[in-house]
Amino acid sequence: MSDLNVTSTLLEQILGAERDFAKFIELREDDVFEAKGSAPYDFSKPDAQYELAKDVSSFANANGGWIIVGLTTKKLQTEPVDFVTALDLLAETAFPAVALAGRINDFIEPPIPSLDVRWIANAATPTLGLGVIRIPPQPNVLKPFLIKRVFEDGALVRGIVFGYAMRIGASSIPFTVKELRRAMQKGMSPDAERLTRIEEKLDEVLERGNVIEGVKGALASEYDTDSLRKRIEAANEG
Amino acid sequence: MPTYILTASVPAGNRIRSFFDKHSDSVAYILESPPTLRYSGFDTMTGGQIKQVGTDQYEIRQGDRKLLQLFQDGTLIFRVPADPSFLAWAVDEEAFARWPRLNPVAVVEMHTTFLHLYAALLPRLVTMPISVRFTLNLKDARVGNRFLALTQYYKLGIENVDNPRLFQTYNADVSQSIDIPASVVRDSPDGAAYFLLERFYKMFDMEPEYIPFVKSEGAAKLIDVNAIKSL
Repeated sequence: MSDLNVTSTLLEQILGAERDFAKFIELREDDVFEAKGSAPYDFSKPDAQYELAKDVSSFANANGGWIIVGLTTKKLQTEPVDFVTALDLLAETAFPAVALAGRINDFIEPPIPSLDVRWIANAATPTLGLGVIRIPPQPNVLKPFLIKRVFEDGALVRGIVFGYAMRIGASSIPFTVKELRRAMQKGMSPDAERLTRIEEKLDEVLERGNVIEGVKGALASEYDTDSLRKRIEAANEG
Repeated sequence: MPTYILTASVPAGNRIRSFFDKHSDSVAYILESPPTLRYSGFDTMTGGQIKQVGTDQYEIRQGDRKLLQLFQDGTLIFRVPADPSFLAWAVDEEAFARWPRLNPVAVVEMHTTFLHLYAALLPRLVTMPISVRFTLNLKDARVGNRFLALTQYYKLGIENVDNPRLFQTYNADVSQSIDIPASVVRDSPDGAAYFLLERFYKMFDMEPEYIPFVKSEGAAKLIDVNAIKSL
């Protein structure tokens, strides 16, 4: 993890008194900073609002962060991160901050406290600026923040459906239904505790010198290729 | 889309000690905080939370991008997309659709960090095996009518090179395997990574001379992790 405080402090400086947006150039995206072009979301369309909600909630589910709209990025060749290459500033009318804040919280449950959405003018060209969405770090007791209206191919997916996304490194990662289900099962299952106890018993046996497993391992020289093949196929499917 | 699955396994009958422990020195902790070469590299770090699956397996994911599975019998599986979201990072989506090709930095760093992870897990086995078998599996390695390709490493980026030579794989599903002495994996993971990469490059019919970030120590060749760290 990068030093979150360093990035946050730098962003606060640039967006605060300085407003010298040229300082964004060459800045890398990380756990707390996501850069977007001037028209990353078509805010009039619900599926674009869903994409925005996904990005915002991913930060809320991690350590908070900043989405800055109005920056051009490029992928680094040598690291899996994007970096800012140029300014792509937008007029205030192109970033309806109040409406956006409302739409974001329409999509996310529970609403994110202290969510800050605003347009900030560039000191050198005051008619143009950046759209700034600041998601403060959230207490664990409020997490997870779920996306309650899911859109697919432009259409609302009806029914008891929600989405979950989390900021991991420099990416906002949406979780699949399978992953959510797996996490929920693990949370409710007594298996983990029971298996830990069995494991402790096995280790006791080993420590007493009964190293049957170990001897078996030393004598065996065959790889279980059938089992491996099945596991690879399962990994490819899952 | 193209997918790459790398595995490490040991002869049958072995098992990892204290597999389900959750203390700070446990295998679960190693999987959650695997060895890396740098912040945000092409490595096995998922940033996810480990999950126990069934009675003999751990699994940890980064969304649909990275999947890491460890079985109690010592089998480690790492699955990543061989597309612009990981192994072909920084290749423009449209360019990838025209000429699907991998990023050599991602390829080398991913294998090297996988070896570092397995070197950290080896001492947890009840019995030190004589060898470790690695299998390399490229699946669906075709985009449109073109097979996936690899190029040599261009320091300034492939987009700045006119007519780079592309080495295509010869099939949509290609695999290789190699047995490496366990002592080499444990004591010289960078050397073992070089052997593994020789096999990977072979899938593209490329000579090992094309593998970047390699250094020699006597007669041995190994991956130069400092060169990757300094990128």
